[in-house]
Amino acid sequence: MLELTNAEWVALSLSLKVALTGVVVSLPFGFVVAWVLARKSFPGKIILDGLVHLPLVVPPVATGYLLLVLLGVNGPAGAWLNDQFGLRLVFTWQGAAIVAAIMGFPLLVRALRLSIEAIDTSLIQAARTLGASPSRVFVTVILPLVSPGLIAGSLLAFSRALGEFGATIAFVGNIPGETQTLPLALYSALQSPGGEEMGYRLVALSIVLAVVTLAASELLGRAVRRRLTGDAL
Amino acid sequence: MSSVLSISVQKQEGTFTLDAEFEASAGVTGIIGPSGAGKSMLLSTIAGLAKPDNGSIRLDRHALFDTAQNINLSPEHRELGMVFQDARLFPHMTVKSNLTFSRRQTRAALSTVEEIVDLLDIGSLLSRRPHHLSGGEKQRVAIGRALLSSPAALLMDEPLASLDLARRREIMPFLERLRHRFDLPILYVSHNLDETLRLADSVIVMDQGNILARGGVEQTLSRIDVQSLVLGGATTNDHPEPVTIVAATIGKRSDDGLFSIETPWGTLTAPNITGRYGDQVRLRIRARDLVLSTTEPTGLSIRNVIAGEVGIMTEAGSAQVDVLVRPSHDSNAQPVWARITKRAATELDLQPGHPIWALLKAVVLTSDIELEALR
Amino acid sequence: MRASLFALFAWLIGSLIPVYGDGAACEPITIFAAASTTDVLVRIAAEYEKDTACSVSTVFAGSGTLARQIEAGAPADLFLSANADWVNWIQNAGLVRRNNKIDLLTNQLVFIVSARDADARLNIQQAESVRRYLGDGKLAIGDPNTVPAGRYAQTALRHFSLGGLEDGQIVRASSVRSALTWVARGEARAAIVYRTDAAIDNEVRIAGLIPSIEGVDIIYPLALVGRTPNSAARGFYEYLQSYEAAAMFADHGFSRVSAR
Repeated sequence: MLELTNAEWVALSLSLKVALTGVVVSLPFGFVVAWVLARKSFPGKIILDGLVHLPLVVPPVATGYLLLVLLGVNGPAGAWLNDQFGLRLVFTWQGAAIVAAIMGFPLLVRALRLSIEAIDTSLIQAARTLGASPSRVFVTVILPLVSPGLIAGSLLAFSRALGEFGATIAFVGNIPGETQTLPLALYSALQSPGGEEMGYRLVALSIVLAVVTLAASELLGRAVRRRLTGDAL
Repeated sequence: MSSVLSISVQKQEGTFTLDAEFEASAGVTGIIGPSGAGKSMLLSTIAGLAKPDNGSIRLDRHALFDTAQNINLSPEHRELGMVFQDARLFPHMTVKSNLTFSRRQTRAALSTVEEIVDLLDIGSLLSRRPHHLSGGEKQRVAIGRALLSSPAALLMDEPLASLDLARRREIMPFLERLRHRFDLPILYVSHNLDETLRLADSVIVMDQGNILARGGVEQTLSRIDVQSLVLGGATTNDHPEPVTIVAATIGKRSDDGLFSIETPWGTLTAPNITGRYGDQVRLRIRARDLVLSTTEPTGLSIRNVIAGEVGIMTEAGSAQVDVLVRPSHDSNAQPVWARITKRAATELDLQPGHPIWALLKAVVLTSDIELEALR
Repeated sequence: MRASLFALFAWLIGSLIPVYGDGAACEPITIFAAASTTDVLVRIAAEYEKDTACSVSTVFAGSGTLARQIEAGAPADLFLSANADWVNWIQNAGLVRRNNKIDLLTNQLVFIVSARDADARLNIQQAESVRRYLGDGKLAIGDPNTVPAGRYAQTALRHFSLGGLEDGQIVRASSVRSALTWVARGEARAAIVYRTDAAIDNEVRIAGLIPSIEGVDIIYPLALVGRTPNSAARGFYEYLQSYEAAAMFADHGFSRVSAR
């Protein structure tokens, strides 16, 4: 079995913490945006769609730099965060989580949007005639029906976050224990002559993580689909 | 204490204008009309799923919608149960969860879950998923679910339209039970005459967004203008065969297999009656089933004779004529339509006011109404 | 529409075909160089192309990245590294002959701070003053594992008794560019970079020079790569050691280690 050094454990647990936090934070926003894109039409909708997909197409380092400008301590949003909550994002794992959230966002929204578009609005109408308030409709009807897309999107975003490198290193730096996620640890290992062995272990670890995430996505997806239709698959 | 629904709505959508005003009290109000008459739109506005441009919708004194007072309650606050044509059961819940979905408790529950399950005979389905139910079963569950939402009134939008004939026959008794068991206004939208005949206590006929006729079932549905709307295909047949709807009670069955039926025209006999002594049914008598005689008939096999005089005569194409016969024993009794050849009418020299006997073959009479779709 | 599509296609294909200069004897030259020499080397390469009609391709990245690529077989004719270790490494891998290497340039470490802070002066020999200036803010240096300037910075900090700065107070940048940006954006109070780097960004200013340390030389070795380097590559190798090139290097802040 793989024997991991302390540095590797730290990188692994940090990666998981950052990616998980990123996905959880992006979920509500992702849901709202996906809902709006799926169900509403308004002038400028295509611009919103484009904005959502920016992290997919802009070079990650550029994204990192953009985040520095916006969310750094002197940036418009960053200054506010610092004043109101004393929250600084650069050089912190919270900042890394924000990067993870942003890079996974388009994948989350895409998957969610498909699920939302597939919801039968007639079911929502039926629920309302049965006395369900909008929030009850959301919890009992909408959420279960979009859960396949929710799961697929979350796991996709999670995978993307685990592999995120360029924007992370540019925005929050490469600080072991704080921002040095697996990809960054791998990069550092390969930068030093003689770091290949650690590099190989980190690569193996990354592959294992990817496979586990994929398997989880598949199993969860099936379980959810089964629950939705009552079919045994 | 049952409720009264007072509706007055106007709504324009493109070139179509809905303008309807009526009241519905306890019992089944059938809303019937051709496709596109605005029946579903009407129901949507009442349920709160569509917003009228103008008008008011009241449940007893309580305003659900009122443009004057700027009130527009959302569907969940209207206390109206709705059954849709496509059942709309929640696929991710069991039948039991679907049934008990509603948490609304603003008024006393109509009934317990057990009673509803019993009434609709869905006990064996409780742990199943909608996915595994037949169309008829789904609709029964949908009805149960609506009933269990403590509704002050029930709205049913063509609930049987997507079922085949066999399923419809199967579900009819349950609907009839509904109507007897619960004391609330039920608006039953359909474009099928037979469903309306079996279930409705009163009827509203709609055409092109307006109410064409309203009132008791027999009188309203026996009107020619209503019938041509509801029965006839205007494009295929300009002279749809008139149908006489008459309320009747099933009487005793004799030893030789004949039922006696009490009608406004007296007692008729028929062998092919399904039902029991005392059942109230509506008979649907096609104009072609009647034979006319200018003299009192003797020596004929026909047992059912209605004595009357000729009322109206209208042409029905180049070779046919429809004759309205008014029963002579009671001038207020419902008249009956007969369709004969023009030649016969001429040869018999039929004129309004002439005495006439209408003969109805007993074997033709049936209360087992074929539930076939119009057109 | 068709015609312009065809023209585009032809241009694309055409640009893939290498173009040889007038003198067919001049093979194209590729130099892998440390990122910090980007500006000056581009200029020198352009001059050389003008003079000799030979084409020079420049590839810039971190020295470690470049060294690994060369070791894996990348077609570099020359390697200008920001430290000696990486050149030694590829030499040990048999890719550089003993006489094909020379210590070419040297550089100086400086403290930089935000340009808005016009009065700050940082003297590394007065460790207390540096600590006071930093307060609880961050000092950025290149990642000693990957950025040569970072390794020198770390050595300097230790040498001048600042090695024990608060845990987490030193943040490591994966590139000099990052360190500059952090100071410019106010995320780090100060950084230690090369003097040549400080010139790149005008949102930072030099707050103090760091004296060279006995026995620790900042060296940029230049290596001619390969068992049998061709004459075109050797020509550029010589040119880089010429007075002409030295003048251009000096313009950008790089001193020659010792004139030939």
